Amino acid sequence: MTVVEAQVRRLLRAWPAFDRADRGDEIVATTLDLVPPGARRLPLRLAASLFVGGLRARHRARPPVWAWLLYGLGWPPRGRTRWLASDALRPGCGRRALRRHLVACSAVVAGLGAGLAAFIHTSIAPMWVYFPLEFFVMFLVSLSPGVGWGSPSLLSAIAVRLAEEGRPAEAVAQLVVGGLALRRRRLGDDHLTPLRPATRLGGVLLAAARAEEAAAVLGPTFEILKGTAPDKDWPTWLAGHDLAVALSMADRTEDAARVGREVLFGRREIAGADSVGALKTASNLGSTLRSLGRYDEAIDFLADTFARGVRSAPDEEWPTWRAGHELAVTLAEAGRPAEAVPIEEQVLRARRRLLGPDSLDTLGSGCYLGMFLQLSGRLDEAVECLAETFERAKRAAPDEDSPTWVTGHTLAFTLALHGRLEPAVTVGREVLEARRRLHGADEPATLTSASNLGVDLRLAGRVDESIVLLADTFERGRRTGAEIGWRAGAHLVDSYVAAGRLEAALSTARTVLEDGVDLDALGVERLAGLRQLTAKE
Amino acid sequence: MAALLREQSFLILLAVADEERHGYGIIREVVELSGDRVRLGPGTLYGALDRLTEQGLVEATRTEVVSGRVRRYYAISSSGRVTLDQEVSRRRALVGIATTRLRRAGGLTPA
Repeated sequence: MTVVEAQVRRLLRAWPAFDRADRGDEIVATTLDLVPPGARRLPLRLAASLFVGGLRARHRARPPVWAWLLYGLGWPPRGRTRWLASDALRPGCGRRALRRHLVACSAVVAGLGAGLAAFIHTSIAPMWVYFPLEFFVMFLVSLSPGVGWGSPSLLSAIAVRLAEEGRPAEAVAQLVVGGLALRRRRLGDDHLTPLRPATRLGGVLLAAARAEEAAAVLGPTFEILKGTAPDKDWPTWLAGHDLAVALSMADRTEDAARVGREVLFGRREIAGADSVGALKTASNLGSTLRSLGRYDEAIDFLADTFARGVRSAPDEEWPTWRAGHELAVTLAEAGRPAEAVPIEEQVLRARRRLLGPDSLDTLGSGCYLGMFLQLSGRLDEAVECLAETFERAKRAAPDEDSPTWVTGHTLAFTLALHGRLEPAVTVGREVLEARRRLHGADEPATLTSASNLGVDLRLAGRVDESIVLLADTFERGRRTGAEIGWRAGAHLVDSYVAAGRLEAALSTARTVLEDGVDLDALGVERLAGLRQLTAKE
Repeated sequence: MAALLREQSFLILLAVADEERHGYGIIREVVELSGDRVRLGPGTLYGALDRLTEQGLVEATRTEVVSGRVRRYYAISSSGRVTLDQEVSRRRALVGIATTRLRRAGGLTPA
């Protein structure tokens, strides 16, 4: 987390609990988008806006007396969703609900008693009239606790609360299904009122990257919606679309592909194959199939989606150009990088036109195009593309690892492949310093950059510098258990051999072996020195 | 008759009138629509979006994560479109009255 993001998150504490849970990450993302590139602190104007906005949101969330009374009686008022949810998100909501229930019932019964007394012209109704009546009504209301807790807004809030407390996903699903059943009995089978908030809840959990819980909420919701409102894109097929995304994020890719196909069929049925919704689902389905290794099917889906998108929605980044990008990545992963190059070039041109040359997606396309050119053996063009993207990305997004420093890392690697070792070392050092600043020295991405730079230094003849860097990377990797540490260890043996320091090489090789590392599993190519030394042992 | 829209709410409704946009997209669009006169901060934007959502004029359509950042998209609802139409008619009528009065007072040159 950067310093600026930490500042934004601190200021977010001024907002009510529900806003933080529901849209905290969204507010952070929008604020970070507004921070000028390269800024080391949050500008005062943005900080003030966030803080004052939070206080105002708290003020707005305070309910009027009538809403409070209705809630206490068990009928959460309409249009007060955010307050209800904020209340349910604070600790001790059950205890507060009971207290509120008692106070509200007492107030209403006392009011009715006073009205009755006025009606029958009695100056003051005797207390013995109020209290038995009051307790009798409270008893009746308390017999039906589901009246209040079955409300969809409250239900969503409680499910979010349970999810936050780390309760099993099944509990959340049971709560939603139980609440939905209650609402359906009261409102009828085809009423969408309880299903919409459940769909939104799934979206909230998905946005918070809580994929298992999102899938647990959206699964039963989607099942009911398919039967009750198969002709509505919202909420039915959107719930299905989000469910497929959640399943995919939760590594349940087979299920994601099955649901994705079903949603694609549904959306094509109601809005046509060229509708934006259908294209988005098809694009996601293609990506899911790719992660299953079913490249041919994925390429068919993505190529079809891309062609339809270019024809019917040429100005839409999502789904058209993202589908194109996904298609290029899939082709490259399937071992066909040469075919990926012209597609990514097309995507890059479109993104420059639609999003501007400095958007993260455009820069990401530049980075991928460079990789595809490199994989196709077109090293001169790859270096040119990556260098241009890297320079632009450093200016536009200096604090983003992807695409900025990933591009630099790839550029250094490509320059080394090209035999241009000194420029590779210069770029590699710049990337390493930036990653140390952004992530710290022990993160796997930083260690990978350090390991690559160590190898390039040795190949450039700067063996002593190589040894210092690789020894440090090896130690950090061992301490944190990162696999890249062992690769650095193997490269360190090579550097010691190159420097003629065979004792040190032998000692390092012994350490690697004593830690029980499976050298073959590492897949390190440059193990000649290590194998030679261990054979002597 | 619908309540009057504040300037910020009017601009936000206009920003999401033709296509769904995320928070940053709305802020950029409002800057463009207002000729760089109105620059919404995040607190102001989300306060206004809360009000518009509670009034049923705007709805969140979908959420996605791009480059690790959460983006929620907002679109105008059917009742939002009606309110926007009414507001545009009201402003148009007001401009008509203002133009007539200024001409009568000799303060506005005919185009």
